[in-house]
Amino acid sequence: MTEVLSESVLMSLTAEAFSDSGYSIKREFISDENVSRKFDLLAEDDFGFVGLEIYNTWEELVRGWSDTQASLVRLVSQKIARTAPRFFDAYLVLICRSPINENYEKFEIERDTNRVRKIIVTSEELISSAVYLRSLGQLLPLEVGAKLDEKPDPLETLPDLLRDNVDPELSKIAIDAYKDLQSPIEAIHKALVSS
Amino acid sequence: MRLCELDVMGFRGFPERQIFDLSSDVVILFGPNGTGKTSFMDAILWCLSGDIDRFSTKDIPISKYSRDGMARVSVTIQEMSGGDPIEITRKVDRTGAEELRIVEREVIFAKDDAVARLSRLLFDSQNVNQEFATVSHLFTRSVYLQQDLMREFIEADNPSNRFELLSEMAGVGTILELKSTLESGRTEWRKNIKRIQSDKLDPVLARYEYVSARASTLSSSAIKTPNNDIEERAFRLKAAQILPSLDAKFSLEDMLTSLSRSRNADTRSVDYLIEISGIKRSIEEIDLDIPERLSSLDAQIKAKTEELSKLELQIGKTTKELGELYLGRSQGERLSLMADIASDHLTGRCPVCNQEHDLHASTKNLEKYSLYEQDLTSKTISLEEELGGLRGAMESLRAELSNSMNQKNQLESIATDLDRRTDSLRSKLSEAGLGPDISLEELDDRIEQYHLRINRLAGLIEMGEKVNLALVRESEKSQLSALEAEQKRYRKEIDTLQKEIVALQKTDSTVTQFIEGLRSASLEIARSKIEDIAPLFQRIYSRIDPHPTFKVTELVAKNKGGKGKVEVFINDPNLDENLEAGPILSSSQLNAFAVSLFLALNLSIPNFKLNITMLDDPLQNLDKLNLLGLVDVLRRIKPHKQIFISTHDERFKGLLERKLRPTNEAEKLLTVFFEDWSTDGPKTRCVRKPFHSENRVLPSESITPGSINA
Repeated sequence: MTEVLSESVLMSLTAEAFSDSGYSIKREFISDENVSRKFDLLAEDDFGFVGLEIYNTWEELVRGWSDTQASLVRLVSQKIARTAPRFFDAYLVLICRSPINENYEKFEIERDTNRVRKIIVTSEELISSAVYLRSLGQLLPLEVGAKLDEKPDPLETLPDLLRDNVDPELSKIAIDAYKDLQSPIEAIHKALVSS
Repeated sequence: MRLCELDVMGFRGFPERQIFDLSSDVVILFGPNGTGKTSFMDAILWCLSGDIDRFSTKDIPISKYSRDGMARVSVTIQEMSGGDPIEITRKVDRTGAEELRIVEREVIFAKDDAVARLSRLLFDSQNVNQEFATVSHLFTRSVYLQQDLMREFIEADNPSNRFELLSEMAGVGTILELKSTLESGRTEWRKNIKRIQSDKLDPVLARYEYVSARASTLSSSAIKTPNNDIEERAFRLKAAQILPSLDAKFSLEDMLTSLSRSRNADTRSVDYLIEISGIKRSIEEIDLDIPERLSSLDAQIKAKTEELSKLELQIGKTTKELGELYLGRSQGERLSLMADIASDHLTGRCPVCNQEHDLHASTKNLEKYSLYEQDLTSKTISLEEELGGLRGAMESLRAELSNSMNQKNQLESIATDLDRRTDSLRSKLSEAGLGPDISLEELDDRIEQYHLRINRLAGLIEMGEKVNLALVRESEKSQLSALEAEQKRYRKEIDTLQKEIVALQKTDSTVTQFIEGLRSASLEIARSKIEDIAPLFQRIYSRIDPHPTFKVTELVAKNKGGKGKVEVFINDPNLDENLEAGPILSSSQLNAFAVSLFLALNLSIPNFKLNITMLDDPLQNLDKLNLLGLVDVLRRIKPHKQIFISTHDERFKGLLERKLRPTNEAEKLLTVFFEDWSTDGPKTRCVRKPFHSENRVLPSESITPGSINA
């Protein structure tokens, strides 16, 4: 069986990922009497509120997820009105460190969106930090990459790309001429003749 | 840049004018089907691109209820950070006459200027036509997700089309523009090289070759004579001595021709005289006693003929006698044989008549027969010998007669030939103007005189030819000098032109290498940029998470045979095999897959300056989990893009309003309610959702961003 990430590694990874993504986080959170529940990790940002719970076996998860959800709802409802839009931004991440018995049970839990959105992470997704963080992706900011707002100029990269075909200096002369709305061929010719 | 206003009239579902203030981060279009939501989106597309490419026919998008038969859409755009609004207006009438106008800081751009300006606004590109050829396509694949064509990019576009579109999006268009500029420039460059070759170099080369060919035919050295003029004068004097008619007005060539003619005439004359002399000499050598010899021969022939007749008569007589002897001899032989037989059997009594006879006398009588036969034989032999001698004499006489006849014939032939020669001689003498009695000695004298003259003429001709050759060579030498000077000038000109052409060709070769390099460089840049999109595609797909096992997306850009291709796959990490998404995913999963790719492309457009995302009813077949995933993605996109999203579903609208609500004072959310539609257009109502401060669940002492590492 493939070794899965340990609980402490999972907690560190989750805390780091949420923290880096702008969440406020709380570990070892002990709620008041009404909640009577200890979550492994709680996180909150402008977009929502996340409760995370780790289970060692699938049976434990199946038995306990409903209570965990109820605790999370109670916890949120202490601060946020049930009619407020933010009340609908609660997520419950349920992590199971052992293989699951029946996939349909997992889908059934996830499809139940009546109270909070449930995201189940199974042992298959705990094989590495990258795979695990990918399963939390929908809670994290979307990395759109560096290209969205930058204005890369492919022309600037050409002299190097064309190095095998044309002397980079010559390429640059042609590209500069083109940018200045001059004839790149005349520029090349002039450079060749003068050299 | 974002959209801040839409002013639409006469366009598709908007017969009447309606103006929408779009200054919001999120615009939700909500209403039942057929109330104008798609027309709203299409109006933006048409105004900015001039095309709605999902319509198979290029129908003019004028509303059937347009009052003035015209469609007019204005979109006002603005930099995200503020700045002056720019109004883009496109209108078209039923004739198809279209007009684009842009108003920017009170400056109006129209016609081609407006197209160029719009191109710069949207792409910041030099090549207006190329960009606009793809703008509609680009718009509908990465900006505006049309409800009917959600999976177009995955299902309808082939790998090459996808690559082209993504290349455009990746900004490779600039490189392709450069390549196109170089290619068209190179075509002209090559024409120019050909022009220099054909109009300048080829004529000079032809002239040079002509001059060289002319020079090669000319001698470079004159004949070594001290003075060609003196030689010429001497020749002329001598020529005039022989042919007085050759005065100074004759050229050397004419003089030489006249001298040659004269020499040829003399040669012909002397040949004639030699022939006459020969005939005359042959006549004189012939024996003139032919008649006497003929007479003697006739007498001999006559005598021998008579003698031959006598011999023939004698032979006839002897032959007759011999014949008679042969006859008698035959009878004698038979009688002798019978007598011999009778003698052998003779007795005293006759066996026939049985009479008695004298045996002795009978024997004597029988012996007479034998003697008679012997006598005949002897006479025959003698006569045969005599006849042989007569015949030998006759043959000998006949041979002599034949010999005499031959001698006579020869003499007669010689006589005839002599007559002919005599006639010929007479005739030729007459032709030559000579008397018939001219002697052989006189003829020989004349022949000798002709030979002397011919020799003088030949010597003179030789002298004249030498003088003439010397003069010609002298002339050629001066021509050669001129041609060599010309050759030198042309050579210099050719060298200059060839150097120019070599330099131009070197540039052409460099440009060709440049173009070749650009081809692969553009593919490489596009491939690299496309592959940069792949992780984002994966991140978005993971958030929507439509499939329990096929969780990995692949966007593979390849460069095959100089052509770029983009293929889109889905993968189960446990199978590790790239598969076509179509056969694997259900319709709703495929929609989620397509929406993920669309959003990835939308977020990755680096060179399209309009930061908007338009989704026309993306709800189709998406289940609630996928929808929640999609909305979560949109929440994360909201800081980067102005979002336009339409739906007919009230719960989805509610979800959008909750999830995409403003999270700070600066953010705005607009919901446009499409409540009804009539021939006047949709009945719309705009509702803005303001930002409301919200409570937090976690207490303020919770770990804040960044503190975890500390």
